[in-house]
Amino acid sequence: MWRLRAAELAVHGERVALVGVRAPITYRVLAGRGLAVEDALRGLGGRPGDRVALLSSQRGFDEPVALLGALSAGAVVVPLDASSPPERLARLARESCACAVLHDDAGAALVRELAQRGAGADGEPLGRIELDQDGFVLAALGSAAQTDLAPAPELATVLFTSGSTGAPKPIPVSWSAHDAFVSWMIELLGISCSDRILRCAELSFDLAYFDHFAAWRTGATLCTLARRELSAARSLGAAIARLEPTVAYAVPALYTKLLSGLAPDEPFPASLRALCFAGEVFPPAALLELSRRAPAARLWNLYGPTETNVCTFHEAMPHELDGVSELPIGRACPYADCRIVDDDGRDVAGPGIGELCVRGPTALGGEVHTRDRVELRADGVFLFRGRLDRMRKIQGFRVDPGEVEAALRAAPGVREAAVVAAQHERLGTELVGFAALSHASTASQGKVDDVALRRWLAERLPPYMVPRVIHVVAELPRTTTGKIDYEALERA
Amino acid sequence: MSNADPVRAALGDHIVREILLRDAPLGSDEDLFDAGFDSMSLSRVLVFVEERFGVVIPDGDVVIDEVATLDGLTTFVRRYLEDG
Repeated sequence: MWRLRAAELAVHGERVALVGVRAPITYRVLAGRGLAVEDALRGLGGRPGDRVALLSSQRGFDEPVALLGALSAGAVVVPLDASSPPERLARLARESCACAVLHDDAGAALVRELAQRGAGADGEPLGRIELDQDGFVLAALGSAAQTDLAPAPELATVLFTSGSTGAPKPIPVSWSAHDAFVSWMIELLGISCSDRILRCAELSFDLAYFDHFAAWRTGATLCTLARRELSAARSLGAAIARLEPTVAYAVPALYTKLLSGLAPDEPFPASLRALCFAGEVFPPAALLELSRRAPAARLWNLYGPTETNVCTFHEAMPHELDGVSELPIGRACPYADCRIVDDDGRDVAGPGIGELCVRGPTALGGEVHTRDRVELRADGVFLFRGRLDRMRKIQGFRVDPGEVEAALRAAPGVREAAVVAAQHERLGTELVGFAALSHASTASQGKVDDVALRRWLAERLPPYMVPRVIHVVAELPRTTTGKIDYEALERA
Repeated sequence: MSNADPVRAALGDHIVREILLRDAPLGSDEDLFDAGFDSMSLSRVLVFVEERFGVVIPDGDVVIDEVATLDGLTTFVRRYLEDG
């Protein structure tokens, strides 16, 4: 099984390892900087299997270098997303029993604030390693906090997802899980040392590990984006034009953001040959637009919750992009054993609908029940049919807000849609819709507003599935991982 | 009943635009339930009355036959407005 070792990256020698806003560095240099972090962590008393928090405020070269050094030292990396509130980050560091925190110079103030909020287990201060934006170690301070947690050498990372209780839920990811997914992706996409992989997702999101590991195993170049470049469509487009990546793996929101920054006839950056997406349903109209603007790129829909990583995949073909239908989530990955079970827990043999359950090296502990409602077609292709957890009783009917969203997304002029259940004092549980309209002119479509959208739905769905109100908004709120922020919508 | 009646106009506009989702105005003796009303629609009208006119009409007070047309509904709602 593959494990990351900084010293081994030197075999790629003078190939370019990292490009971004800083001067490019080679694999030989990257290996050296990673080893310096590894040494610094050992110097603080960090042992293999200890948890180490990682925070990059500006996302310079410090992020890949710190990741490389910590993993190479055998530490289990707990990524802290610098855009999350300090209170949450301190809690994640504490609950994961981190013994030290690696961070960039720009993140120093945030790390001090975390310390004040008790980031260490039992209030013990964390050891601290500070890197500059080139990935040089500036300082190694304190010592690794002692924790009672048993070292876990088989683990690479601990990612946190939002649990159903509202408390962050830790998902440990082993080296064998990373290995199974990344090896398969390298083969699927035919990644070689001549590829340039775009670094998009936050490190707190499993997508980010494909970027690093696929590049480092093949000697490809990692194209890093600074946090401020990711924040606006035009700066993102300019950075991509400059970096010329060939492969990207990101949430749909990143692609739709890129599209929104393009002039009407401007093509998508032509260097990109493979566009992979995961995390949520790609809005069909935007996907059609993407395929028109990037006709030479292959489009891959990857599906799987954090607990299983990607377990099904589907390559989007031009003929199935009609701007209305959602893509299938596709066939099971070769390492994933996928089955669907009905409400009584019985296997659904052959075509049918039920909860998707997954076993295999990427699935966390035995079998993962995804809580996703999935349809298996006769040809072995899976289709996503919504979250079981989102099912609501509206006037006595079981309603999946995802089904209403799919219909709303298909309405003319709608770019993105979300539907949540809300409690009304008199009306009980009701649906509330949110629609973000297309950037393109909607003159030909007439006025797109609350009433027009509800009429569209009323012509296609039973009355209890039509939201009482649909708020037309400029943008849907997003979580730091780029998914639609349903909690924010429920509070709205 | 006069078309200029503000209560009737407000109710009619809300029902047509928000609940029945259509353009054509209601005829004064058009049956609301034939036009697509259900029990939830009626509850929504009462919520609208509460928000617009500030009077609370309990769901239990409603006699379906009394409120099955726009004119009947207006008379019914007016009773509460005048009492309040």
